[in-house]
Amino acid sequence: MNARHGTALLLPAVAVVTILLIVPLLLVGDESLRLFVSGRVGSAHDAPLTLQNYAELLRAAYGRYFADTFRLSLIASVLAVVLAYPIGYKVAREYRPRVRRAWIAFLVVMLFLSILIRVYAVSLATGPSGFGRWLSDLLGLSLNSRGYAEISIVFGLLHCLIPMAAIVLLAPLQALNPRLVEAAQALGAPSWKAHATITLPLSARGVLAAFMLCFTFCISAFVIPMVLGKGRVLFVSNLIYSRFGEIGNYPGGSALSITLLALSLIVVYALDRAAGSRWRKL
Amino acid sequence: MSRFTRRSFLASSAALIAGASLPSRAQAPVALTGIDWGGPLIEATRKITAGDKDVDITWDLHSGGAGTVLPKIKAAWPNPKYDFVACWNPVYVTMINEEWLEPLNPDEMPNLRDVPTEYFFKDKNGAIVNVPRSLAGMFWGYRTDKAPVKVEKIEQLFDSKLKGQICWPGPSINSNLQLLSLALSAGGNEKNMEPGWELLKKLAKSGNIGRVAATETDFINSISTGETSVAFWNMSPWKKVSSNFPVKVLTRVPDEKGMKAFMYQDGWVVLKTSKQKKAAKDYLNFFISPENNQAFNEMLGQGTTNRKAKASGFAENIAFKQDELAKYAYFPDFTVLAAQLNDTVKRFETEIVPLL
Repeated sequence: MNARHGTALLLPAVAVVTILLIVPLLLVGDESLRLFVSGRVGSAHDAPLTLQNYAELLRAAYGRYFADTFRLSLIASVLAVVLAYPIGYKVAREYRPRVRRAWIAFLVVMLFLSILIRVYAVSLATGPSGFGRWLSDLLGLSLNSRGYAEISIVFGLLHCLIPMAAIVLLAPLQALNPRLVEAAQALGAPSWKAHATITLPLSARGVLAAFMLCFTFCISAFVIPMVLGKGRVLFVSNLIYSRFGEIGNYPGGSALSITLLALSLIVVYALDRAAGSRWRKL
Repeated sequence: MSRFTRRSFLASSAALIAGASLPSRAQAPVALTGIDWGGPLIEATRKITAGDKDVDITWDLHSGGAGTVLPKIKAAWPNPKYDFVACWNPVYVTMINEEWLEPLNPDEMPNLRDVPTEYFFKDKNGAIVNVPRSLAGMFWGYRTDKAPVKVEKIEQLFDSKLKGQICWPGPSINSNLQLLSLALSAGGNEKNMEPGWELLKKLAKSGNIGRVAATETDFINSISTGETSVAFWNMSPWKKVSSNFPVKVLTRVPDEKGMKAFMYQDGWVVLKTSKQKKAAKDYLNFFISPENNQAFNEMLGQGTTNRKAKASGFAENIAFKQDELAKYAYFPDFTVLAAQLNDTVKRFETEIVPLL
């Protein structure tokens, strides 16, 4: 296949991305620069240009919403990868084909589970009708406190993230040659050291990929913080929904969306650079 | 003996085809698309609709408040999929501003003649644009088996015994009548909500707000599970909660300016882009007939809008006699509240949520 044919094959995908992603993004960008008049739905056709929608986001309270979104996303993503790693390893090293298939089927089925079912299941479990009172006493937090709401959100996110991360980790862990660890152990290395110095570094790219996937999922999570945050803890996606869906302030919602997108790209790029440069040396 | 000729065959065929092509509502239900609230409302709507064999309706549900339908219509305009929409006072106002609504005429919809004129919203040309179906109220209430204090005054909401016990509706819910309730108790009104904001800050700082509910489901779950026990919400979810738990609704509280029954009505509007306006109007006319209006509101515990229909059951909570109206009922200025909504939501996000 020559280069021209290769380029031609890319065209349908490029067209789809351009129409469904780039053009709407440009429209959102344009809307974010329009003046909004309260009581209307979206900006008027001839609305003047303004930076007011972005200027509003400089207020300290909005900085806190962004910080909460990234902080809780980071915590949930790290925990998800840490918890999913042993699962991925166990499945990758499972020698009985039937058991291995059952594990993979279980993880895939978990991905198909509706997010609403997960959220309300976690909500009931961590609420007063579940083990909420016991857990809040254990943690020394009030059931209706902000701290408890944050923990509930992390639980909700983990419910979605762990199967996702385990499946992503499966391929790199399967590709590892088990004899490397066996050789290290045969030469006297304890099990933990063999894994820490061989398995983990060699699967580092998979770990990074799983983390990135989890992190981007968390940043854009909407239903989980809406239900489990009890209105005390809100993600930026909840503010965006409120602007677009409840008060018709498209310009304000667009400014929030563009800012979240820009910050997410910066954070993901920075993490990838930092982790990539470190692991390239390994 | 008559002869069957080619000419007579063609003539009778033509007559048959012409007859078959005559419009007949009875034979072919007209397909319509409508949107209503979920939960008990859509259940009641479906039951009433089952009695109209002339329409085949595809239903969508509001995802939260009725205001959430506005962006959907705006995005699809001039081809929104809805023929008619269920909404309420503040959403009527926005739709009228956007000039989306079909004028309605009692000549086409005779049952509108039985609806008090005070319930109608009109467009800039003075034409009626809504079909009122329920008279309802929003008010404070509490679960008597769970609330640690007997609430009778706004000032009791700040009682430290109510820590985490209040379910506060989000700022875009209920047109923020909950804030108006605080404002009224402190001497404010729709145009001067500042006293309400001050009280809300105090309430947020007190730690008594346990949940800021974003949807009706949030409210029902929160009160039903005992997560919170005091709330401000509207009639049909209160009725649902009261059917399972002991509830005291605060619609007749003497000498308290803030604890009123905040009255509103919900109903239907027909979009001017509907391709089945006649069928939509006929259906809505059927929906507000005296018997249907009474049956619908009995199921929901709400007040009737048709003069010939009777209110009963839970609706007694807002069935005020003339001398009670001034004392217990409050008719908010939704036009003023709708204009403030954008600023209200931002202010809640920046001044109240950080205190929770």
